[in-house]
Amino acid sequence: MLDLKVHMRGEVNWSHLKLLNANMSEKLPFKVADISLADWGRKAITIAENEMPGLMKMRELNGPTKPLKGARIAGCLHMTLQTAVLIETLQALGAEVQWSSCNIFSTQDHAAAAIAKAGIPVYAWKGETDEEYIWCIEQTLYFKDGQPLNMILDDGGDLTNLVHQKYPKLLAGIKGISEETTTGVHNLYKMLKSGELKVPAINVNDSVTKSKFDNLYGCRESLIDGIKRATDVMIAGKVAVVAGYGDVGKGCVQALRGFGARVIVTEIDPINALQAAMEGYEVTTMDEACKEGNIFVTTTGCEDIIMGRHFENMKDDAIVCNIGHFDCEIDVKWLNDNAAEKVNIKPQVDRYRLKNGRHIIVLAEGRLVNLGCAMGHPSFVMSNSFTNQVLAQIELWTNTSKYPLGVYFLPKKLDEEVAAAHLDKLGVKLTKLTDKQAKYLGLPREGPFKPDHYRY
Amino acid sequence: MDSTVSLPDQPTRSTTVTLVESSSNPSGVQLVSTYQTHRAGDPMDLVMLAQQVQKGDEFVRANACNKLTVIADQIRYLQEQARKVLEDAKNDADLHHAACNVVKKPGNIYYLYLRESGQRYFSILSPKEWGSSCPHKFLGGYKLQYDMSWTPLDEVEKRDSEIHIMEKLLNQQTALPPPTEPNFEGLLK
Repeated sequence: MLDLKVHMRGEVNWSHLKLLNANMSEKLPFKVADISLADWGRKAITIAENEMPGLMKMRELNGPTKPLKGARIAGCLHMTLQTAVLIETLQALGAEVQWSSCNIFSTQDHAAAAIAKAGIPVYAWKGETDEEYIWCIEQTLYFKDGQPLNMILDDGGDLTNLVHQKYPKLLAGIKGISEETTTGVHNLYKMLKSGELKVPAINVNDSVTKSKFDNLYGCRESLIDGIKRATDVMIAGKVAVVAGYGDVGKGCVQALRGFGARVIVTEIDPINALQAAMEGYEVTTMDEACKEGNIFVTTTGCEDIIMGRHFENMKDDAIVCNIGHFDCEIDVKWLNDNAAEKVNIKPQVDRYRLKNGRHIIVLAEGRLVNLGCAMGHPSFVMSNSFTNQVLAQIELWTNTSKYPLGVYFLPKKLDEEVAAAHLDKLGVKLTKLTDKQAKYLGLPREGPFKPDHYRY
Repeated sequence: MDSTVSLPDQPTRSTTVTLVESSSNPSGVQLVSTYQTHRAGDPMDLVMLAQQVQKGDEFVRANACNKLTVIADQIRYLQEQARKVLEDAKNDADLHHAACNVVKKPGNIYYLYLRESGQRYFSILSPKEWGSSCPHKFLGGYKLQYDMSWTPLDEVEKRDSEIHIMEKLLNQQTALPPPTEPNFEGLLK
């Protein structure tokens, strides 16, 4: 990696050379499963770019000024096609970027290969071991000239924790962290409370344009995708029971009704229950609904939603799946312990025969059906999240002094910018406030338009 | 009519010479004196015959022995081959069943490690790439071939050049002449 010819021409600083060698000689330019997938990956990235207008808008607006110049961003987030567009956006904005995946199974090897081929140090492949996972993250800490990272882009908190626990001497040089997801945000608040957090952080997860959009619109598309890929069931005319009427529940209910199902909702919160009722849905308990439903979807984020007694009352070949949180909403263990027979139909689809002779079809073993049986979130929804990431990185890098140690939301104005960046692509024509109107409302003409507590 | 002859150079061995049966009335013609007709003129005649019989015996034995040696060699070679095939198959199957999180792709090299628990697993990281942080004992590197067999790292170069030669042969479709007559092309050049 050292070009000796260049060194030999001038005065050679051997101590420097040795130092570099000792630290850096082992460092690989990248590590992916199969670099020959790069061309395929590149084609798929091109398609994804077209579906990620927010990120492309960032390139268009900020590419010339390079606001991230000097930033060395270590990123740890699912190495997918969408993330590839994020990585290249950060690069286009002037940053040096190194990447690892935040899950041992989520890397799309063709996306990683394309990024590697573009000369960006990426260390990620589908099917890492836990030790390899940590190795991959560690490869992203030092950049090619031996300089350490100065920004963190994280999903889940493993990179943040690794630097805090194993490389604390690097913390002083890091200007900020942007965190993608609920788990990582919990971790940040915990560290802040215990005094362990040493770097200011922005919670990207709770931007309106992130959680409101991927929960509602992401799930609205991927729920049906998952059910259809798994079972090919006709949804029209069926009775669908949706547990929970939060953002995810609302999306699922809309999608099911859109296909012509009659939807029943269960809720614990009177406000959400009233919302569901006033949208025209029957709201009742699972004990009642279990006798009527053909398709059951849990979206609650809580545990013990569909239990043994519910399975026993279900109609023959009822389909049961979860799109809420982890795998604790559906009591799959009860089925495994009590069913007369379990037949695996295909990966992620199991059909249980109960002792009463009826059958239950469980998707993705009760884990997230949109990930297990479909492709997760589409690029467009990820463009929302990732544009938040880009703006969070720019904000922390360029307005460092505004963010003393703490965990912050992205300012409302930037949340609005994320949404604005997606409008052109959809052909949306936005109305501008006149000065008179702005004065009437008491708002700046260019926003922010809503107070922080506004719920959308 | 058999006569037993001891050959002058091998006094301890005797060879039986069988002469053609005699007849006193061959083809219906009465011989005048069978003694006259059948008497051996030269006492060495019988020795010559005996020597020839013996030489024949020796040559036949030697020839058979030669041929059997070749076959025995072949049998030994085939047995060795069979043993190797079985052993390779066992080793290959064994490696295919080692723990692995990645979908392995022919043509790539994979590295086998041993966890403290005793589990063996494949990684795409070499000990060199791990550097000092290598967490588990390294057992060996293997290249996964397109026939799903495994080549140990130190034999990869040899195997690659073999495959290269075979591929060249496959590409030259005229390499083998039509089998109209036996030929030793390639042996004589």
